[in-house]
Amino acid sequence: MAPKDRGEPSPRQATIDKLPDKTLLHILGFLEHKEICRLAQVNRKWRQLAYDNRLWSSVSLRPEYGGLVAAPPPDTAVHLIASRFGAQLKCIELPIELITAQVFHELANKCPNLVHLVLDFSNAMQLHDFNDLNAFPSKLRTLNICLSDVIFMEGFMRKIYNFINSVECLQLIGTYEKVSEEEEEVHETVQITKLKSHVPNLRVINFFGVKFLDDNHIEAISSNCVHLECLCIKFCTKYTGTSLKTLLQRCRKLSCLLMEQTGIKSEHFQDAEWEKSRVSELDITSCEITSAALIDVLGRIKNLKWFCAGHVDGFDNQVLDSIMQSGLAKSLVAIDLQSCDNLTEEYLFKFLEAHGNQLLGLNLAGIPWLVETFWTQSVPFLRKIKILIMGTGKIVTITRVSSKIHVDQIIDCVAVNCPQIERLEIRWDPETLRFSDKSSKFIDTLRVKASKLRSLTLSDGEYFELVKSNFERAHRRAIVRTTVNCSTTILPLLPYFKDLRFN
Amino acid sequence: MSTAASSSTSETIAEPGLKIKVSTKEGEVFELDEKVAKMSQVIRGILEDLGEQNGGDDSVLPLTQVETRIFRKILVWLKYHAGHDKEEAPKAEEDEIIARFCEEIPEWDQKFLNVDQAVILEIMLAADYLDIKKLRGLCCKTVANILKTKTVEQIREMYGIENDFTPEEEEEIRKQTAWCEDEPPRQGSNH
Repeated sequence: MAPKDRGEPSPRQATIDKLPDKTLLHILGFLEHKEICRLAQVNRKWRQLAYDNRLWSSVSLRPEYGGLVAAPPPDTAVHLIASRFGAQLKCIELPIELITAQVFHELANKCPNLVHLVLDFSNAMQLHDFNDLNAFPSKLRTLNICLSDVIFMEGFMRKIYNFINSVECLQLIGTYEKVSEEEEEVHETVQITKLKSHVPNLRVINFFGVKFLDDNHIEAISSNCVHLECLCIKFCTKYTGTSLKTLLQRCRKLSCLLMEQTGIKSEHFQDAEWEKSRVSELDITSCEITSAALIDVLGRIKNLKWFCAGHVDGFDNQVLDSIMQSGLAKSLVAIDLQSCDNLTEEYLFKFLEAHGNQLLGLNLAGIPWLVETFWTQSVPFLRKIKILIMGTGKIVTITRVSSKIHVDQIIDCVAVNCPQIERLEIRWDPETLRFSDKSSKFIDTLRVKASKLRSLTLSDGEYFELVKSNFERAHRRAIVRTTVNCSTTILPLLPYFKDLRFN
Repeated sequence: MSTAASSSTSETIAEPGLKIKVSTKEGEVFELDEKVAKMSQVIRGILEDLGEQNGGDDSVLPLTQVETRIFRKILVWLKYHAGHDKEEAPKAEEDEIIARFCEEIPEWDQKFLNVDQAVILEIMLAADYLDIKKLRGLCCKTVANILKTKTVEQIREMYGIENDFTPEEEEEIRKQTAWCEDEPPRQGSNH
């Protein structure tokens, strides 16, 4: 006489166990692999469904990055590749323990449709022995290698060079984020000059935070990768731009160039023949480029759609004025000028008044004088906006924002004017934000009107809690986040966003 | 169990355009706006095969596998979404997968599906039969969300599923999946 669960169907009606396998597979398709593994324990039928290789076409075995909780032991992994993943496998992420000759042999032999491979060496202490490696997946489109500072990869790379000809998207993820204070020796753990001749089909390269990367490497790449469309060298601090001119000359298809926090020099930036290039997405965040160099280069680029120049002191009123005069501003769909504090409210307002209606993405965070009045007047121009970032975060400047921000007005303004909004970040800290007992009403309006909103990031505090509980009551759970663990950028508007994403 | 979204289907909205007649398993006839009817890829397919020249004719499409009580519900869903959805471009496969895990079920649909699980399953089957992918996806996701919060035992109990593993098999499978288990589901048994 077990008490009946409220959800228990009566025998006459449909019950989950009687559904066709096809439908059950649809349901399981909405679950993560660790949940599917649990359901395999229900009974034989469920086990058979849970192990259906259609549910295992994209597998992460890296626990730190949302993969299965613990990496399986190598023997189990080899068994899984053959029996469960098989020909359906398209994408797999391997941690260092599973980067072995045996695993590669199995992948090469059993998984003919594998196109996306992530190899994470970042925690490696030493490399396995690859002398026996004589097979490797040969139809890869994307190869992502997370490097370690101390592991020399050449022994491994030499073995796979012959197999990676088909790769179109190469990511070498450096160790920039793990940088320690003291100056340590930087090793060239991958020989880019050798690698380049084996990957002639590259369209997308991401060398994120590769500490050893310098202009010679970029020059080498440009000599062999004529199909390159997107190059990301963010946080490659040794890069100075001497190779930029050559790069743009040789790689005529290059349209997306991301150089955040590189050591690029103004003179090299100006030296390149921008007028002949196809570059339409450019990121020079935190690069030291002068105002004169910006006016010169932006005067020559023909078609700039997506532009990040946050933290660039050289981006001042004159630069903004020049792109409006030259007409370049007309092509812009997304712009990030965060913390460009040589820009005044007056110029920014003029810019938004003229071009706000074409923007999909806008980041004007970190500019202290852009307060409530600026936003309530500007937001009505942003009819198409999808990503919007405003407010000053924890950076306490000497000129403390004197006025408080009444967030209700801004929320209301966004709700009423921006039906397409997907990501909104409001960075002001709780001491600056003012809200009232009427706030709930404004949050309700936003929640209902902005049906596409998938991320709303606020500074941790009372107001955050209020908004979070409001959305949660309406069963929209994972939308409201804090600035502590989430930072909104206009990157999702890049055409290459998917190719560049890692971890 | 009452539903937020149940309402009469007989109300006719004064709107020009073609009316499509369909009949349910029980033979009850419903008249739908063309736009609403065509959200079912199956009905759309049949109409396109027939050609649309004779709008005024009296032919009725038999939907023999859909019971009236379920069809009424589906109609509520179709009418709401016909009025609120924009034509969406089909998503790339990758986007589709991301959306599956990241996107939440919209408020209206959550209320709509706040019914007995058995009813959700029937709606799901009917949506599959009529080929209304979005509705089928919403049902699947709703059921998946329920499964997430249950232990293996609770699932067996909830659906009256017999554990047909031998003790050896059970041990074996526990070993096989041990490496991918994390903590048990968040909500424990509430008995």
